[in-house]
Amino acid sequence: MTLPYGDVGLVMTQTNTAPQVASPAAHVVVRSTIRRDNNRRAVRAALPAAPLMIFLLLFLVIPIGSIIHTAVSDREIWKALPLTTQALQAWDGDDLPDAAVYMMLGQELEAAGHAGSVRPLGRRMGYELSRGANIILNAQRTLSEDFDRAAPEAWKAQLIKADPAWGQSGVWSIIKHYNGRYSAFYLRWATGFPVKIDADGRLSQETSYDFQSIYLRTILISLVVTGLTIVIGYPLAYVIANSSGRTAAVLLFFILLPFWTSLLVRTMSWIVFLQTNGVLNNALAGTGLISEPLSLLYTRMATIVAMIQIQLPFTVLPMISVMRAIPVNQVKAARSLGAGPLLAHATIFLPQAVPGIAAGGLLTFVLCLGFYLTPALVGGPSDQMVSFFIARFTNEDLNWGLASALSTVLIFGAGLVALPLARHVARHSSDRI
Amino acid sequence: MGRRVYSEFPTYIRIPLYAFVGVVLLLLMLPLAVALPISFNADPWFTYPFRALSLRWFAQLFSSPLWTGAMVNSLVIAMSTTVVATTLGTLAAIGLVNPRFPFRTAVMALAISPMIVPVVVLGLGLFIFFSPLGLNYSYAGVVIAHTILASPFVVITVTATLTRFDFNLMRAAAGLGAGRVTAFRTVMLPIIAPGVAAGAVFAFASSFDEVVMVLFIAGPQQRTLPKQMFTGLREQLDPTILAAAAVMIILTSCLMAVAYNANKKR
Repeated sequence: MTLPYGDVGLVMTQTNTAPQVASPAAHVVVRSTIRRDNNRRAVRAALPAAPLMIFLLLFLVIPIGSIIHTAVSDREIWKALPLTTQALQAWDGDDLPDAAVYMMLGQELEAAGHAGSVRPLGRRMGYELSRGANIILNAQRTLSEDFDRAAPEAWKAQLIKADPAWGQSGVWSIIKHYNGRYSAFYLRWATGFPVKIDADGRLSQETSYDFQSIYLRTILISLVVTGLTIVIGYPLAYVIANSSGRTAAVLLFFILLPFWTSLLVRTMSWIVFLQTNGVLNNALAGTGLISEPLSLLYTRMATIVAMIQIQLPFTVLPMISVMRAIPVNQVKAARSLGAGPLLAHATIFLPQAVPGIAAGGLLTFVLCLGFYLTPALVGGPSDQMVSFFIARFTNEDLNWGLASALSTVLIFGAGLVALPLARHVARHSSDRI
Repeated sequence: MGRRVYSEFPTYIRIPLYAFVGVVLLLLMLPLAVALPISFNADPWFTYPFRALSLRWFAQLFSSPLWTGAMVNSLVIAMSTTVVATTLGTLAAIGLVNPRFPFRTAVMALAISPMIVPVVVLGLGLFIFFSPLGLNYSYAGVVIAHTILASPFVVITVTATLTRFDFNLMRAAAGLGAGRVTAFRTVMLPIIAPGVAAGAVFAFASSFDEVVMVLFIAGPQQRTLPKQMFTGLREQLDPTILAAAAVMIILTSCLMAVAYNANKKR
């Protein structure tokens, strides 16, 4: 690459100042001038990129930061019941809290009712306590009745009358636990720890999302797709890398076509192709091969096939560029020394293609981990990956904390897998890719 | 191909190899090649053979206010995205090809990271970040979201073009008294224009096709063509969706062909 235009100036500065280098003091001055000059040039070089950098900082870096912040933010309980939470710190958790604490909670619930923060509190309790939202709402409703507001015991009786859960330790232990703005609750939930308890404080038997199997499924589908794209893509890349001129251009065009056609349209075409009354089933029925239509759509199979079609270019392109750089003479030499064609390929060509395979495979694996659209449209309920649940918790359940925690696990998990591998791939593949 | 005699496989390996490649390429194309023509089927069935051909699904596409509104929205959002992403991306590429750029590798990685980070995660982050700013359910919010996804295409395409650009021309312009902006406008931009155009086409196509960000950020006012198709695919598959898909493919293919020819002419 030719040197950018900014370099002319430095050459001139150096020739201008060089004759003055006489004393050590002057030397220092010159050196600091050059350093200042270099800094100025670095700033000027970076200046054109500043708008995009500011844009990405605002709308990429800060939003990802706010996901992590949302994943650990957990302030509903503390915000609605600050005094109760504080008072409960002295409670040992064995018996019920003092009647005074009941009174404090009742008064804070009434205040929260006026401030409109009962609903968020109830929803948050419901995440961790069976019937949690009802327990809170029942308590709030009963407080509008007539009772002796001066006596703490009357508050206690009123609350326990509203919902027997107030006479058990579960709800109190939750309120005690959240005495701050942040907690690891959503992260524990998103990493598959059992978080829900019953009113008696024991772990709830209620079935919830099994996030660990969702992560496993995400990794498994991504691995299968990566493996298959490598197996299918390797011969493809080999043929393209070894053909020349027009043939290579045409083959590349077919590989790249998916790049150019809409992802949504391609996924749609699989639906039309595979559905029960779709093209494939009708063709098979027409030839008499099947009598009943096969259920091909909304299966793991359909998800994997559609993902392979989308990911194949990403796997193949790095392979092609590495394969094109492999010297032909080495394979020739092996053949002339008596190696069979397959042996020469496996021992000479294949090992040199590994950096391309690794780069393509890694890219495909990392991209697969985040797939949303394709599994959502052609997969069944048991084929949905992490992204699907992030979208569902954001848009349908409005549980941003859990959605953020799942996102945090996804990006850190993908980063942990990808970064060391990417460094390894980069070190062994030089700058050919 | 004579030059590769010794390195090539013998015929008994080559024929199955080529057959495999042919079958794979065919399978890659098959669903699209089969699905798109169904938009011309006169009957609302998704099967072959057709009893008659008709343009009724296209007529429906262009007469239903739901679909035309979605198309207008998509065009407005994609064109705005193209302008913003191409401007930001081209400037960034000019900075990034300069070897003096501080932390060049890290900045380049940041600039192309939206291609790697799961879109759902980006969508959630913007949704959370936008909600106090009131940018959710607004055109501006969708354009910002799409610009994040589109800018890496521009950065990559223009950077590739600039590595072939002769920076001596800029020195010559500077020597003749042109300022940096004048030299950029009159010397560099005309030369790299095909690369910028290709980047702009990719930016347009990526926004025109995008649905996940729209699901997170857009409200009913910003219903785009892909959103309308997505809803249809989930609820009731109707051949109008195929007509919409055909229109999308034709539009982006035309743009790609224009960009490809512009690049070939150089």
